[in-house]
Amino acid sequence: MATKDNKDEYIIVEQTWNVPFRHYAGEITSRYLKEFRDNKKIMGRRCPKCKRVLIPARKNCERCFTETDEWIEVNDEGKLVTFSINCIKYVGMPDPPYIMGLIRLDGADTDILHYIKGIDLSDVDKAGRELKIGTRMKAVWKEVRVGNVTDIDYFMPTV
Amino acid sequence: MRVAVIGVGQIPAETCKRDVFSDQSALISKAALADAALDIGQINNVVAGEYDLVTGRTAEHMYTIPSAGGYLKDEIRINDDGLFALAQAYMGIMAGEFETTLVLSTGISSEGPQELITNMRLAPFYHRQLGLHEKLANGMQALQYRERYGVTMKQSAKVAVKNRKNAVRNGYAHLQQEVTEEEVMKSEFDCWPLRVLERAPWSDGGCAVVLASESFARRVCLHPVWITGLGWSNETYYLEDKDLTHLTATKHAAQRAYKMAGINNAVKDIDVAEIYDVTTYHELMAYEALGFCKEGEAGHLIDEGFTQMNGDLPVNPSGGVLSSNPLSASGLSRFVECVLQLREQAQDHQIKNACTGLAHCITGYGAQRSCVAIVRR
Amino acid sequence: MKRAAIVGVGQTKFVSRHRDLIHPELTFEASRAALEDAKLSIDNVDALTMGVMDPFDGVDCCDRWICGAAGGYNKPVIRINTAGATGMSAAIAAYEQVASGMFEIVMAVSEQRVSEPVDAQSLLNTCTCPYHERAMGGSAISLGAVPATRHMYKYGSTHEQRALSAVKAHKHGMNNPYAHLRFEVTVQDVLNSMIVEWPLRLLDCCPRSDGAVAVIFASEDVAKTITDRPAWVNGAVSIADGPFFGDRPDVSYRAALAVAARRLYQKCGIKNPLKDIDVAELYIPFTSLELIQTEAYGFCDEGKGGELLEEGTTWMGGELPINPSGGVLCTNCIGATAELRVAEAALQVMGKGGLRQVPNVETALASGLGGMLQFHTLMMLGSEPR
Ligand SMILES: [Zn+2]
Repeated sequence: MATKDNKDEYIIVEQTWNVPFRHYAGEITSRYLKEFRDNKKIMGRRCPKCKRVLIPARKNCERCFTETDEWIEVNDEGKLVTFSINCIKYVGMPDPPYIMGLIRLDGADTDILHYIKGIDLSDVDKAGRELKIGTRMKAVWKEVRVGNVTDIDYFMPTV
Repeated sequence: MRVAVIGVGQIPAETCKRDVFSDQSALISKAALADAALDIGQINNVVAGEYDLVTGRTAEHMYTIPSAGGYLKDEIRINDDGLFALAQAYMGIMAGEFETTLVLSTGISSEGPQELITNMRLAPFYHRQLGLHEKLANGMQALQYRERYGVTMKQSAKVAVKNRKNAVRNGYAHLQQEVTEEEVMKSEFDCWPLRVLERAPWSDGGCAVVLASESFARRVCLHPVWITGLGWSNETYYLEDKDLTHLTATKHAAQRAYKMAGINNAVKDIDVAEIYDVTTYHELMAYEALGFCKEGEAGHLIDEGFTQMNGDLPVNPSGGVLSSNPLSASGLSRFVECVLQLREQAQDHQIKNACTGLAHCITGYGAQRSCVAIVRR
Repeated sequence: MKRAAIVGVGQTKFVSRHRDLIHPELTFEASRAALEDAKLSIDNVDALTMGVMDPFDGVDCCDRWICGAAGGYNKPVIRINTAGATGMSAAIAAYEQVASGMFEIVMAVSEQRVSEPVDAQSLLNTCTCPYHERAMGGSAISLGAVPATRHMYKYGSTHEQRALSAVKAHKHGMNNPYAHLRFEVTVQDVLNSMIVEWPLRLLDCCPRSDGAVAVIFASEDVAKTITDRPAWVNGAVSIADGPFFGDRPDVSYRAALAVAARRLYQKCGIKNPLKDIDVAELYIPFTSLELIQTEAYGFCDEGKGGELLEEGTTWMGGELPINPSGGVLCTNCIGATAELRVAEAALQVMGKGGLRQVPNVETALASGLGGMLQFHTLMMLGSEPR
């Protein structure tokens, strides 16, 4: 018997990309991440031309088209520059709600991107309104560190 | 020598096209060719503006360019919004390499998880593992801008109300329901402080543009629209390293485009603008970067109704990206809409006496890249 | 409309894994080398084009991350991706940007860190159509293997003839300090190497290489102030074929290539390619593609690509040396590979080829291939403007 000609039916072909990658972190980024792992330190790189201390540590200052040449330790504390709170569950992303923030660490001329915790998110709007830009933040380090930016578990307000 | 726009085509934006994505490319191409009254044989070059991964394919132009009629023609794919592809196509004609070019963006967002895909655009060493995606970055940018200049939620809501109202009169728009300020300000949070009605949806759609050299255009087209200005720029990738309250790339792109088009006073010289309003706040920030007002004053502009359909400088009569967001075609759609306005073919969302139009797009985290095009009739 | 020329070329060393340098750092090295070659500063560069194939770097829209270090901060940047032809397309785009009069100096930068994916072929499979061809496990190697079988059947070419392509490439590659694989092989070595995808053996195939390349294009007036011997862009073409491998039986494996070559020769006034062209840098990732390309470009008659290799015409010292750099069989940095062909062809015209220099080059051809033998690009460079 012929199959029913159902014009409204469309076949959906499901595909998942599952391709493993191994990213060698190079000389500069490796040192940056090793300092996380071994010393709980955040080390920036200073540009010899514009003198800015760059976080994350980079080999090149793109503004000056030059190579950075000095390691500078920055504080693992700083001021909140901006943030956003993810409220919807997206495929492959962490479960909501979670806060993503940019923090200007003491001694750095750029920010660091990280999770922000230690905030009651039972009412997201209230949390967002009460968390002020400029709030002092401190890194909370993991006990077991492996050489990854997630060796910092999150940042949280200092008070 | 000048470059003319002699044809534009688009397909309606919607949540999910159920036909194969490369079939959409054929529809888009046919629409633009029909509008130009050209045969595909008269096209020398096909330039696609499309991403990888968005439809789960590497090199998706392998399918879209042949479907659009690119067989045995010159081709190139710009891996960015179609408005950048238009810029490259323009230069190919100005270089004397081609007389005609089809610019194509097939924007299919429904085939994959776009938030995760934007996460895949992050450097694997510092950003990828932190659960960041473009909407979250837009939220951070919106908050910083809002706090810096005291932009109110009501002002943001007004942008959404304006654009969604305009979209109701655009048959190609994806979201065609009006919303009220109240509804916007009470809608669900997406990436706080952004609410669902303050940011663009994901859409399936697409558009194409036929460009021609001046001499070719004179032969085949009675009323061509001319590209008089083009500018594009790139700032830093690092969110850590920039002032998110300014659309710096847009500012630089606009300066270049204005200089080329001889525009000294944007507000006076431009009659209609189509802006990449990926969020309501990005539309406001774009007013400032494009020189429609001073820094931090965009809120007043929306309060005064300056950018409404009947305002001094209507922005997004089509409904903008807040109403339709066929990824990779969203910027080129802005251009197509400007051309329709200048040709007085925008039907129900037509504004009066538009001679000069501005099309704008931003792409990347924190609006890293931007392209601005000026068209005149 | 302006004439345009290449005034500077830079490349990194190519290796199987740049452990020390991450993606943006590679582009910086290439850009810096090209600027040094042209004696320019980054401030002299008006705009950039970027070539990279995202999935191999493991970062989507990877150009956004790496273009800053390449010199693209607050400059116009346009990002190109045409699969394997990407690098050449980035070069063609840069040429058009200059020739249009929009910019005076444009730098094309292409980068690839092919070592990122654990297995590159599973990524190449994501190029294929999810409805029809992906499930068959088609990979880039298929695009060398399938035509090889057909060529042997139709024209009687042999494994030994194909092996000569590898012998030649590796011999030439010994002269190129930037090349990735630097060892000589014999026909017997090729024939004894393991079968990768029959009839192709390991030494019939290119390696995976990490590296970056930058080429600087300048308008006629500016070019003359930078160097006495620029490489003039005398013609550039690209061409699209259909996506399905099954649409390309027999000679059609090279049909689009032949059409593209004809168009290019017409633009540049080439009548007898073998005589008129002095050196060629061709995109030959698999030995079989040397046969197909030399035939398509009219260096020999249909089906005679094998004989051409045997006669020595395309070896160093021959009438038309192909790939003095060692070519793709020695170095394949996917998205950057086709731009490397332009860079090497330019070095030949500019007389900067060092040990790999062919004497008195006036005309050099470069080619790029992308997709499943789908997108082809060609560029002709000359010591005099057309
Ligand atoms: Zn600096």
